[in-house]
Amino acid sequence: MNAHNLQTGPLLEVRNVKKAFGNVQALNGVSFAIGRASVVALLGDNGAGKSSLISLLNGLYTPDSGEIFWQGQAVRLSSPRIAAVLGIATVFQDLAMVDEMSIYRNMFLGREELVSRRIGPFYFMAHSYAKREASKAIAALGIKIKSTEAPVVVLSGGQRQSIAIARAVHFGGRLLVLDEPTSALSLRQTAQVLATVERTREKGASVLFISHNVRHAFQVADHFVVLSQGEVVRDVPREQADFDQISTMIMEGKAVER
Amino acid sequence: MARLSGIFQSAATLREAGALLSAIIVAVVFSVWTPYFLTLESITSVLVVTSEMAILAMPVTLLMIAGEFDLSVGSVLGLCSVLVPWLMVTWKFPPIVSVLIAFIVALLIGYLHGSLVHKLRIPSFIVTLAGLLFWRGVVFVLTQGFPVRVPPDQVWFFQFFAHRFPNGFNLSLIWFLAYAAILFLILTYDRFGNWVYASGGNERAARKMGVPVDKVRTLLFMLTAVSAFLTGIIQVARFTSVDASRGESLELEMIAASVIGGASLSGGVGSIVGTIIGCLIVGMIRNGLATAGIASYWYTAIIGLLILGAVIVNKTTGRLRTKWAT
Repeated sequence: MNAHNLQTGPLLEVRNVKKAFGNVQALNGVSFAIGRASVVALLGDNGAGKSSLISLLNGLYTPDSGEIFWQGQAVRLSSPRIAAVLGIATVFQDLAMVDEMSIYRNMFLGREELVSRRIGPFYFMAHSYAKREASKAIAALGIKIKSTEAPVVVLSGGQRQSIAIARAVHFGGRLLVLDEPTSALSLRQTAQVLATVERTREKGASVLFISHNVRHAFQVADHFVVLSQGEVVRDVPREQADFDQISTMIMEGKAVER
Repeated sequence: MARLSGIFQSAATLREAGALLSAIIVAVVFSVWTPYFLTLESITSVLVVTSEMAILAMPVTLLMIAGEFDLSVGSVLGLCSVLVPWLMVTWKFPPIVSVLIAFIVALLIGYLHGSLVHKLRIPSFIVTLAGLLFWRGVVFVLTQGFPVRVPPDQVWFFQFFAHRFPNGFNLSLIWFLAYAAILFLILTYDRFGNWVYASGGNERAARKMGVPVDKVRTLLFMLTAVSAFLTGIIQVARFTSVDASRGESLELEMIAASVIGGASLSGGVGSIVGTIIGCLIVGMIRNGLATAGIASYWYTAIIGLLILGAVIVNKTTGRLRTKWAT
């Protein structure tokens, strides 16, 4: 599928993972894999277990049972920091951006030392350098922005989402977990974000595209995993995926006989 | 014609454009109203008032940008300025020791406020409101209602803070310029500045990206307290006697200056230059009214109207700025 795929084995594998929150069994033995440079759509209606799975992948919680493998090795994602260091970057729905601040300042928020000169206790940011790096990171994913000095608030929702993705990729994200990236967007903005997702795959990173919108997923994904009530009810590559069947499956909540 | 509108556009996109416009309007109004407004004496008087206000207003602005309020600055100023002569008179401490003790007290008060806010999750408005009352109470207890004088033989020491030159300029202006330069550099170029804007602009985003929001805010509370101490010392130097009401109502003036300078009460917006302009406007009004012979009773009412007017000007220029940026 991907000519650049020189390594074998999946990037991330989740094996028989279970997680309960109080009395609710959020995940009941979930297994699936994400290949390298691949976009996997994780579909399901609200309450299916998508959010719980995200929180396990970004280290917020640990599974009650089951295993997670990163590049073939079993890992324990016990904190968000560990997940981030491995290369699992989660882009949340609220994007973690400060509206009144400029794009380049947001790009390096929390990581200013990478574009700063250290003098004693001070980290003086090299602003021209930061602006250039931000522009490069954004252009690398084909996003068109007039200037990285503009405050984030003047951008459209699609541009903001795309920049959040560019930020994750720039800081070494190997697996981008996108939580409902297109839910609040217009058609045109959605197209922009989906284009960014494709460019991300071209760059060699993988994307876990989490959504309840099947149509959007079908535009970019090369693999589909359908979650319902904490279980995987369908796990197929693109060639075998049927739009109507999957849509119904999400709504009905169970495997539908053809 | 196009070139002119281009210049106009870039001037208006300057963040402090609104405050600058307000300042120009006020200056023009007073210059026309009374000829004495533009004399050297009047200008130096404005500068002295502005610089003393600004030393305290700048950190208050920084804290506001970071999303918190400090209503206790007036009382902390009162406490520190009373503490120094009180220690010298009651305990016969040398001036430098008294000043050092007051400095440490300010640091501790700031740290206390910051800790209460973030550890007990009490809104800063409440914590510093309590502080406003409590520390003022301590001042009353210390002074028993009587003013405290710096012993005449020790007055020389305080010239270091606020020596008055023959032409009207005051050493406090140098303190102000140095302080303003440092804060401006830090807010604009240092990563701490990034953290301040992020903490107030979107606290959740800042925390998610790893910004130590609570540490930033506690540091800023300590900064406002220390600035109250510094301003207090400057006033001790100027007046050599301190009474229990020193610093009353100052906190609202500080917030007013910040807001006039373009800071937002909800955080994330504001600048050092803007606040300095805000203090300049307040200083001009105070001085202008006195020069024009208007009773000082009008001062409070006019400041009230000014705040309203300045916010309207700032909002309008802000909207124009967003329109021209897209």
